[in-house]
Amino acid sequence: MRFGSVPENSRKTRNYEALMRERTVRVFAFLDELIGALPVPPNHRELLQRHLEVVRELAEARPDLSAVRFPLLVHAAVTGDEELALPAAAACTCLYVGADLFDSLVDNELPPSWRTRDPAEVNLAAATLLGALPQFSIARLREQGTPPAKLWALSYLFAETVLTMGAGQHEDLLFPILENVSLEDCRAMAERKSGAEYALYAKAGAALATEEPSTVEAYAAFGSCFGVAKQLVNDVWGIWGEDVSRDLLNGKRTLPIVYALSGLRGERRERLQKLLVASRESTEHHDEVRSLLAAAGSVRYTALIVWLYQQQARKHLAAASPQEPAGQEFRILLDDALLPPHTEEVRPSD
Amino acid sequence: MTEIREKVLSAIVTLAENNPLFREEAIDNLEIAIRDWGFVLTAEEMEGVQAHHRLAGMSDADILRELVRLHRGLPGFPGVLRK
Repeated sequence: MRFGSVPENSRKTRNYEALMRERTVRVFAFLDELIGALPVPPNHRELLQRHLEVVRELAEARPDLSAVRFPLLVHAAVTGDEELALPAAAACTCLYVGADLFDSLVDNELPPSWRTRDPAEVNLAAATLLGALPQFSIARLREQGTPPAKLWALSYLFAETVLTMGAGQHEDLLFPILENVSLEDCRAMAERKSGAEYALYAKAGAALATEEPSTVEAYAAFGSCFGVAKQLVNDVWGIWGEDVSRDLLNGKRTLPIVYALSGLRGERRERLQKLLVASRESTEHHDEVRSLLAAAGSVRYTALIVWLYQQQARKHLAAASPQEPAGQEFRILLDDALLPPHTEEVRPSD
Repeated sequence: MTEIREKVLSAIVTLAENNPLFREEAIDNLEIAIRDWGFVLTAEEMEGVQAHHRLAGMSDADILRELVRLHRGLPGFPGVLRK
């Protein structure tokens, strides 16, 4: 069982496409200027520019990066204005692009522009994007009068998030060689690897906008739950989304697999374990693994957990009491991500 | 839709991880599982749970189709570079 033919985007999401394209253009223009001013030799600058150019093209073709959207939108939801959060959105975008590049390197999924380069260069670019550029972006907030204490807090937030994401990514790498991975381990890994990243996107905008702890934490919790739900959807895609499952080839222990291994007993469990080992070497058994996982209830369990995280995200967003029109954009974002989808076909226009 | 209290949602996630009986019941009918396992929800919160009824009533194939739709439709999904 595998599914690939679905619409690219929902109609409702497209309502915000022009706005998101404009945001994306502004964030990448900011990064262009930032990288141009970096005190580095031309070769290193060119390495970063080349990569950001690739991402810019993709991001403008499909302008929906949460790293761009969340910091700007949360800032607008608190203060009514998103412009002041531009450096924070640029910092989040660098972190996202750097983390994605590392992830692509680890999973042998590099985009074509990197395949002919030395992997050491990929590492260098990813490390600079993930570690250094967010700090340079945050430093730009000084120019608009952000107090030093807030700059320090933002800087610490990025360091803390990279640490948490790194720990989650490390668990993701280790799980295939561990004997027993529980559902709890698996969820905790998703919370560290992806929840922390999306919590940062929301928290960076909120921390810049207000010093009210309950508001900042409500947005952070919203981001975390949204990010975990997305990670779990990604886990399903990683198994059923394409003919060749990259997650099965990479031996990943994602939630659908951990659920089946924790529930199956006897011969069926042994069969699944054997097939998972064989699936790392060949795609021949991928369909049988998919069938065993579905028969074990993995699809329904994962859907339940996605649904619960989506409900939590909705709850945290309501607690944050976002101003309009940012609140409306967030609610549409959540509705578009809802499992199962809303039954209403047409939403009143804004 | 009225939101369900966050602590209730967290408790359901934890119980679904640790208790196979609850898990089985929740996947089939979350509303009944919530009542059977002692969670007390307001009438309005229970309306929120109704949305899960539609999910529970879907076939595996339909759920997978929805999850794949979400993967393609979700904004800012990780892996924008992986085309």
